[in-house]
Amino acid sequence: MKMGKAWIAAGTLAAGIVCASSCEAASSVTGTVGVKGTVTSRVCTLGSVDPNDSIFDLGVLVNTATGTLRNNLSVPPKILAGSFCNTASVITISATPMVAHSSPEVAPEGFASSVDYTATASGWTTAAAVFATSNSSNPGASELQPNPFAGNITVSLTGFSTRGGDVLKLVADPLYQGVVTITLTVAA
Amino acid sequence: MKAKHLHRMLRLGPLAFAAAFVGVAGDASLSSASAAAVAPSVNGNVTVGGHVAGGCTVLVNGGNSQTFSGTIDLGSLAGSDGKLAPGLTGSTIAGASLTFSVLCVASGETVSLSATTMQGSAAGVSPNFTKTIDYTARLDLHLANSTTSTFSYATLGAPPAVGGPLPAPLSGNANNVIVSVNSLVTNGSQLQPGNYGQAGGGSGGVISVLISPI
Repeated sequence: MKMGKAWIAAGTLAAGIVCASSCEAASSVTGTVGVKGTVTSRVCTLGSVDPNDSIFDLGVLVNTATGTLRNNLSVPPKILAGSFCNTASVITISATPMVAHSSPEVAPEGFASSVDYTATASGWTTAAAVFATSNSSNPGASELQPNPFAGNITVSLTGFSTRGGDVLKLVADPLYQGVVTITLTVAA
Repeated sequence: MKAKHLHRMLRLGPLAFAAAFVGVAGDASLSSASAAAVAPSVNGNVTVGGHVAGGCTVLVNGGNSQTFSGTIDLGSLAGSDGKLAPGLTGSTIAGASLTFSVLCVASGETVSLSATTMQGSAAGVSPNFTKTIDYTARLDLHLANSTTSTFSYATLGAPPAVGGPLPAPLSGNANNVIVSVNSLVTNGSQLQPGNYGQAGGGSGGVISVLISPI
């Protein structure tokens, strides 16, 4: 009998300790789960041309009465919509003169086969990036955007002129063609 | 003499015998030979009482704890367009979950779930960018009746916590509590570079779970 009573007493004590420490004093469980992620990649993406036509079509280049370059040439700008860089970036514009596609490189005396122009990329940086095909150097062709930026880039062509002088007549050719290139790069 | 006395009391009936037995129970000098020969068997009931207070504990590193924690790392958040990666916007995100083992001694449990929006570490936000990412925190609880009770909390707008009593007690099996993340969402802008949520410099991105016995 004494052994039995002693065992019961010990058992009661043990049960009391268990409940005091874990059953009653701290009955709930709390969980904290953190969520994390990073945006570390430094990327730039040029948007698509809006409208979906990447060709500046100037139509007929010459004044049919004089054979020289029209002095009222103009063309609507193109929009590169949805461009972005998630870090500092540099926008650079370059261009090549519009050159008669099928004519000899050297035009006959009094004629020209190349048209210069100025290409401008605006909207990305405070100062637009500008490239004139007639210039040997275009220091303004690259501009820095110091912040992440997302938006549209407007590309415009202006300042058309005949290479060699506007008094020269343009050789006949079904296609005068140049290329304007816009580049977005992550700033170093 | 004592044996003879006992024989006489036997004839008095059950009630008299009981009283007589109590009276001699402490007499160690009672002859065992004579008592064994004439005494009937005696039955008694001993009531053993106790209680187990309701409580929950979580198994952490082989021990018990009242708290659990962890981090769900979503990795790179931006897609090729600089916006939220498409793989993070769906109703399930591979690997974006943590599992815990919670043991409750209770007739039932009630739970609460809330979470906070992730903020990026950048000091400012450039035009057309964002450093705010909302998401849905999900809590799945495996129950003793082999069903799963699910709660979801979308951080957008910081609504009140969700939760309530479970329809059945929590399962006693391991890995019965699962916390996951899905359906990340922004305002549609590009993501400002930086760390988000609980990554260095970020803020928010905290999922809070409370499991209490009823």
